[in-house]
Amino acid sequence: MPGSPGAEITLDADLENLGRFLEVVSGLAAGEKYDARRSKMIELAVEEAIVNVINHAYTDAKGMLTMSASVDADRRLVLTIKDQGRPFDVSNVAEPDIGSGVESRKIGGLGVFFIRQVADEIRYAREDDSNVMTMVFSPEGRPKPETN
Amino acid sequence: MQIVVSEKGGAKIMALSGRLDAVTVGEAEHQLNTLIESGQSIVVIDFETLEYISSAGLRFVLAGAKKLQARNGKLLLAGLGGVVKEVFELAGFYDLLPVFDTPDQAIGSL
Repeated sequence: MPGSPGAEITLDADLENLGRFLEVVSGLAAGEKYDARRSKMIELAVEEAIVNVINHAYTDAKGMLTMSASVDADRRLVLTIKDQGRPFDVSNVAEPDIGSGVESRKIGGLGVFFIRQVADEIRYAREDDSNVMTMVFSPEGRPKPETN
Repeated sequence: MQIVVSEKGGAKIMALSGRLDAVTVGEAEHQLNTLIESGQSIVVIDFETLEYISSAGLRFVLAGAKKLQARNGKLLLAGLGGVVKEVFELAGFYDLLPVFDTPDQAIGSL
């Protein structure tokens, strides 16, 4: 069967709802028989995206977060999160320096880095005063560069 | 998440189980800060039964390491495996802090 109709949930953009958003993600991954490792890595990327909305888009006021989740014809999970906060495009966030030592290592910047590492595709749009971010995850993840 | 604190050879071992994420990290921070404020300088975090960690968890680890270093103490990591280890590696944290197979090995290294 090509893809599935998927699910959509809208909840307060609050950390207390993080688990409910992630349950949708892990449920979809389990339904498509993703292995446990890949499923957890996808949860990681989605957690970072949601935490970014809470911390960076809704800095001044609280608001809602809508997550749409579906599976495409290639068994890829397509997750879109939408908020009405300040414009926040992850593609403008700089890479953390992952080579520096404990003293100089900055605390932060890792969330977006994880999203970029785990998602196969990331799209961002500002539509009708909303941030719309779509992440696409394949069952296997992007092939890793050879490290010999 | 569940946190069990034990003591061995003058070091405190914090064993974490379940999920260390943006929601649960506060408990872990509180527990570690309590140990540091009571004068503990050597802390081992045991990740053996931790199933999931996000950047919030890594920030907790890094902040704890910095705090202990500032007091001439040390944060040692043990029991990293599976997805948790993978996230540490992805972030470049694996080479940043001393990592051991077990808490006993971590304490034995001192």
